[in-house]
Amino acid sequence: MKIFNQERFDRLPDAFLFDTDNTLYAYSTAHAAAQQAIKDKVVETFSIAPNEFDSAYAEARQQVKMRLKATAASHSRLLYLQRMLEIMGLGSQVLLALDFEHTYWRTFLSNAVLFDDVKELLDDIRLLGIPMAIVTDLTAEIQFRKVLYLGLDRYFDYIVTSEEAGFDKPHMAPFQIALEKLRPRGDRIWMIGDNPVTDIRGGRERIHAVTLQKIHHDTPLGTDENAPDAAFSEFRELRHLIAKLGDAM
Amino acid sequence: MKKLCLHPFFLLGLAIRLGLVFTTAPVAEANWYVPFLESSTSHFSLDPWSTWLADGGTPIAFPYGYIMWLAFLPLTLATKLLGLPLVYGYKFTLLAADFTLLLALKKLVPNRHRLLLLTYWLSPIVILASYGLGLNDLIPVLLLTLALYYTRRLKMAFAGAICFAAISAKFSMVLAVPFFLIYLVNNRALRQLLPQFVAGFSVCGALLGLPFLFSRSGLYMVFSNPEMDTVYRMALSLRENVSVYVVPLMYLVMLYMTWRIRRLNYELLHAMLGMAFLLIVLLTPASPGWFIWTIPLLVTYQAKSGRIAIALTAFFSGLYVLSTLLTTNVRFVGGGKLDVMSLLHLSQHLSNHAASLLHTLMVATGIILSLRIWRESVTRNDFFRLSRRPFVIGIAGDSGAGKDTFSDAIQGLFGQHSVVKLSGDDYHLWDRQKPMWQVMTHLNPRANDLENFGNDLVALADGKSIRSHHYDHQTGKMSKPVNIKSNDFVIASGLHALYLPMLRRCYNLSIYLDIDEKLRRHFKLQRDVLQRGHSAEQVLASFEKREPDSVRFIRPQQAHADLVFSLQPINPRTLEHFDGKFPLRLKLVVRTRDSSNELSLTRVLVGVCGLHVDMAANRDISEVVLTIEGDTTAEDIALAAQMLCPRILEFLDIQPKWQNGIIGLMQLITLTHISQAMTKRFI
Repeated sequence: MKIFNQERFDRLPDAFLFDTDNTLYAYSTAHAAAQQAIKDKVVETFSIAPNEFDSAYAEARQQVKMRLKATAASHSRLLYLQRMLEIMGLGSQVLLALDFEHTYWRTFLSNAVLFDDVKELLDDIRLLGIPMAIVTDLTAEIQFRKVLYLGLDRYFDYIVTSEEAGFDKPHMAPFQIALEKLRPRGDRIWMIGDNPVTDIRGGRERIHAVTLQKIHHDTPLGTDENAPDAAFSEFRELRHLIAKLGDAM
Repeated sequence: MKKLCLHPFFLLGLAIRLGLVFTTAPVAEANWYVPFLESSTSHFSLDPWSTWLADGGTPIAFPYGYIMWLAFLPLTLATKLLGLPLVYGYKFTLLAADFTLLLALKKLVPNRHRLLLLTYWLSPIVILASYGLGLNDLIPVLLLTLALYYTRRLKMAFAGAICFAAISAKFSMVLAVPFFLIYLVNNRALRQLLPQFVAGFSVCGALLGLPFLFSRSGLYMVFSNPEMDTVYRMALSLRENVSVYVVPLMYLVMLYMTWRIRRLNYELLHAMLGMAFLLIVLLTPASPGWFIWTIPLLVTYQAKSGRIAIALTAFFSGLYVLSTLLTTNVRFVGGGKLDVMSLLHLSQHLSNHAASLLHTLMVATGIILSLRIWRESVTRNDFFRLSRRPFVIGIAGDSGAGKDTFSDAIQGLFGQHSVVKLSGDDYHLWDRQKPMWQVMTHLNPRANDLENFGNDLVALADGKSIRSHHYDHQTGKMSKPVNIKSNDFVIASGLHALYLPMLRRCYNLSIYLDIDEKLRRHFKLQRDVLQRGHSAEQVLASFEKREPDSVRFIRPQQAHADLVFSLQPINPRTLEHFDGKFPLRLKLVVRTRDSSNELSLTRVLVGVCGLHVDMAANRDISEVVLTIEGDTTAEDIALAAQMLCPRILEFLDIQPKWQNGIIGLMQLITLTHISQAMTKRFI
């Protein structure tokens, strides 16, 4: 565990905020498997070349993102797939779009595996009696399904999605709503996430959170204004830190 | 892999290995293997064994097939080209095989880096035998482990090919082949993959085995190897000139025990094969390298068991090192040697005595390990437990409730090869044309030979075969009796499947299909007219005639079921105007007794399958009632099963036939109950 601002770790926090995707589980492997599954299905259904799917999907995604900017719906696979079918000249094809979306999420969920020691960490925090919330982008339904699938619902007191907040992180709204729900006793909040811009900079600038970045091979350490107060690659390191601060109390 | 390679245990193991690579000069390596490789690379020939013997080399130098030679060839040639001593080509090949075996074991024991490094990478057996004594058993063991890995992944052509490659590397690996064959023959779901295994084995055999058969020198070197005779060393003399060889006897007994398990899963295959190797190594004056054969088993066993297993294996390994060092010297570069006997100032006699005592202690520890593996990995294995007695499911319900459809759906999960069905229809007392049906309905127990139905069910549940008639619904006649063999799963369905207490006691899981009466009549009318050739008038008349018997004899059976499925239209009025143009929208009501998974089931049905679920308990809280509505797909059901009852998935067919919609839901819920019932039965 690398602690860059030692003075911010003199005591346990009053509340924990966690990002989900790529923080609590490896997003990229689940996404890659899911993306491949819809690609295989689309290629097989329409007898098209894989690169035709790639280009149509990429274009659809770009259009949706550009139109919806930083909102929950801008991440919607259903909208990407609907637009992809339209770009392919097939109209909206409601049934197919839904079917492909189901395929994506089913494959995604079956490939989503929590990082080691996540549940143990959450259990440690539960025993310390510190409230916890998930602050995550994307739509509520799929994030709720992920939380259920990964068995995290029993640990977290609240969840805030960007669909609920109206904006993605690093906008103030999701952080603010989380704190309103949690009502922490003090102002020492730990924000734990992987993204140096949305989670780390967002957490620090919006709610003055102590920021901890989860590092792995595809998430580089944030620098300058995106630099976290601490970084770790294994959740057991965070458990040790919390145990140490807990013992010192 | 980065995580593994940066672990302090890995770095420590690597440092020990590299230290030994550069400091030791084992006899076997210096006198046999490296000179053979030198000879075969100096006078390149496809028959290096003949060249070696022609040059006056000793036959014990390289008693291995092509794969062993090919494995060492690249780095031997590379060191030769670089002008380095060939011994480094040999040693670094061993190191490469060692590292690959670590990665293969990582696949077999995932997410246990620390344990793997501790039990394999720091294993004194591997380090002493390979780097201290220069023995090359790592190569065949690596190949055998890869064969096991591909077997687990059901890539049987690869497994077969690699299995032959292991034999080509070291002929003793042939001992493993019968275990693979028993696994594929006895596991009915996997039997269809046997041809793939044989094909892979044969192709590799043709490529590597046939050319070797033309090398008389190669064959001579393999079969004249004195190591082969060690398996006959332990013998019980019956009379002059006739003995019973203990090791072959033990091996045959192990094979028979493996065969008798009837249906093996991968863990059982691994455990039985490993135990056979462990016993062979313990009961022969084996080369120290043979102990490496037992390593994959010991690693997986330690991962599965606990600290006592790790401590016992560490003790076993320590005894191996001591007893080996008392009888074998480790030689170093420059002529030095580690001679424990001299270091301790032991006389030859004392040293032999100490070595024998240590060896005895090691064999005792090895036997204790075998017994523990048998107890923990074999007798507590679910497959082993199931093989003792089939799992019996009883399904009752009124005519047209969907018993056959449901039985077929359950059979589709386990595969036809693993299920035997016993149908109550085959026990009607009379053919359809007989006059008795004018005064009695099929629903009356007295119109059915329930006694024989019960006897046959008991026989099948006991693993015995039966002879039974089959009722042909088209002709209304019973066939001649046919032989029906028992199987891993017995599904007994019928109007009276839960009627007699004796029948109910046979079931591990009893199910009643309670369909909405209007819906049942709708389905029955469709089936009897379209599939069974009855007239619509006949069927409609039978409803009224049968109703009293249904109330009296059929419906009360649901009180005895562990699980009741009730299929109902979401809107009861739908059937009044149903014209078949739109699909019927149905809901499934599930009533369970003595079950504990409703909460997790509800979570998964809502969270994964996206269904609407209501859960309630009845008044005296003896039953939990789940009402489930919504559409779901076979893929969602498969994912839900993976979450709810992962242990049972291993019993399913290679490609289980999950179904969409309500039938799929019934498959899922039944499977969770089978899983619970199995656990209860095993406790």
